[in-house]
Amino acid sequence: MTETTALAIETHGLRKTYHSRSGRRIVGVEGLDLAVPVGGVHGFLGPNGSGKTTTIRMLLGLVRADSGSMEIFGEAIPKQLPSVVRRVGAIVEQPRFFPSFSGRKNLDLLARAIGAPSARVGAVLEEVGLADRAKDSFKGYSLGMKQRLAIAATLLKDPDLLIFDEPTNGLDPAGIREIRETMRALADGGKTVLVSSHVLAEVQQVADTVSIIARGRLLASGPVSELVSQRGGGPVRVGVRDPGRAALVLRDAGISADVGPDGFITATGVTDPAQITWLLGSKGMYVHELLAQRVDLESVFLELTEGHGPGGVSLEPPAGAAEGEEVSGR
Amino acid sequence: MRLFGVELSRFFSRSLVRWLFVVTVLVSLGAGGLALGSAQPPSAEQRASVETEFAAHHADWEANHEEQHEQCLTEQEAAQAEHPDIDFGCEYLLEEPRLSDWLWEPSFATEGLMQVLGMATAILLIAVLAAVGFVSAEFSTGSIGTWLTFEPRRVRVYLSKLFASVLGVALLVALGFSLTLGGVIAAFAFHGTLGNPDPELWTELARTGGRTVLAGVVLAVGGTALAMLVRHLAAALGIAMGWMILEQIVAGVLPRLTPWTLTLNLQALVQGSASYYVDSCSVEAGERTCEYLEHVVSSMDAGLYLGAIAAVVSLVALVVFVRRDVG
Repeated sequence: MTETTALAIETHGLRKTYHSRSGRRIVGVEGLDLAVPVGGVHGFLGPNGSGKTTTIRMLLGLVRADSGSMEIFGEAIPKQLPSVVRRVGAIVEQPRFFPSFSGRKNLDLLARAIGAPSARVGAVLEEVGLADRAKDSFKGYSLGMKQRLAIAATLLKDPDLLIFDEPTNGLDPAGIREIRETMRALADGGKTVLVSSHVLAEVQQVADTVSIIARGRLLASGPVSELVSQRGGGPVRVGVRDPGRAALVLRDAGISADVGPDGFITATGVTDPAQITWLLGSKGMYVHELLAQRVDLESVFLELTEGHGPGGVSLEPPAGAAEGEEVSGR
Repeated sequence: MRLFGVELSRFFSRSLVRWLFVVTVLVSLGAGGLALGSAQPPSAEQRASVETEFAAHHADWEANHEEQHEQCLTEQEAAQAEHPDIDFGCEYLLEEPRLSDWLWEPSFATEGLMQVLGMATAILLIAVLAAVGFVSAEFSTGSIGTWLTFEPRRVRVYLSKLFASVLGVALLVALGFSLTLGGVIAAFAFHGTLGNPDPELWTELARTGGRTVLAGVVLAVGGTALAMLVRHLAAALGIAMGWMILEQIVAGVLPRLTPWTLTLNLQALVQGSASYYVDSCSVEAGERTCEYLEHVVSSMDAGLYLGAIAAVVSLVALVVFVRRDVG
């Protein structure tokens, strides 16, 4: 398939306001400029209530934008949505199907709506591991099974772009890992995956690029590695026999250093931890512990969104995350 | 066309709709069961008792009717001195009593038809529940959001749901009406009181069936639109019931508004016509006289009126559905 644009999704000055029940005007999205490249997994991050779901709903034509423009694969949305919708599979928030229908029946109806062959239903159910429960009613499914059925529904179209809105909400660790692996596999298979989440470590494990928003505005966007590296070094924990004197030496060198009650120094603004060992060693002080905390997406996110999030961010670690985010210098 | 097929399939796959079909069959069979009672002719004992009573009455009439007639005319004459136009209708005293007026003979053409019409109302209520439930379930489960990510053209989505609802309801009503009619006919045939219905009666029955299905279609259009607007089964039914009660209250206070009520027009559409009464008062020579006048709403007028209302509500629902954000 030839692409006329390198962007799967592009928005400019997107704005959406709501009226609360009390008549108060609430800004959902405020002038959002979003660019999601074709291919790979793109994390769409923001605190709860930052406008992620509203943006996704606008892209899918479920919600009308007040102003601004949107494009999916170069097609203007919502005007050209009917011509591009076959290339887009989406799960918005919770999977929503008819509770009393079986998983297969739900997918059959959707497949018939788009003219997909019925064999495709069996194939996608097999793909998400639901073939043996396909005849059970949707209301009897666990949350993980519902999520897998929703993924199966998106795959019916064999779309080029998949949009997952908070896909791991309520899932157990195994379910989260499963979804993550599915997203990675889809991206590796040449599809573009946009995943919105407020669970950052989870996104960091799977996303190639991210956009971070807060209060409906874009705060940062780009490859994860670039965003992390732009934020400089993280804090370094330093163990030395005379911490007071060592702290003075570091401060003289322009490094912020605080001595903690445990006698360890926390140094910040250090681009290379080796700088600390060199500085202290040159003054005859030898480091017996050096622990550099790696800067991760969470740190970047917190730094960017500080004071922006109405509901705050979830800092819960994802299931299956590698233990220990710190690197020992010893 | 494809969407319409999918929606129709969904309509008939719904548990509520399937249950309503079962209820319709049971209600129709129940109508046949009830008809067994009303189709039964009087027993030999009942007939003998009535004949004895009639014989006594007839003898009394033969002996006294001329005298009673004379007395009636005298009293009428006295009354006419004050009210010249008064008429006591004394002639009825001269009419010879007939045994057929005393013996109740069940007739399919009257009692049978009345039972079929009575059941039509119940079938229509079931049908409107199917239409409203069909659409409102999509909003209450949130599956409309999933659906729109597959087919974002909302006008098509709306029309496919509307037509599926209309066809589904029409089939439900046709089934219910046919089963009810069949049950009532079977009941009268069982008791041997079916008689020999003339072609006119069959034509009238066919017309009644057609009008009942048409009423079902109108209710399906209105019910689907209402469900689209309020997005909840209980809310839609509450509004419909509330409206029915409100219009009865308003018609009670202002009888001239009666021909605009939905209930009277539905009645007229199903039964072929419906009557309502309005007091017409005038003052002549200082005296106020009132007449209780009967007005008739024809099935044609009722059909046009209800069709127009359903079309307007449906159009409003379409505009709202196209413009409204789906949460």
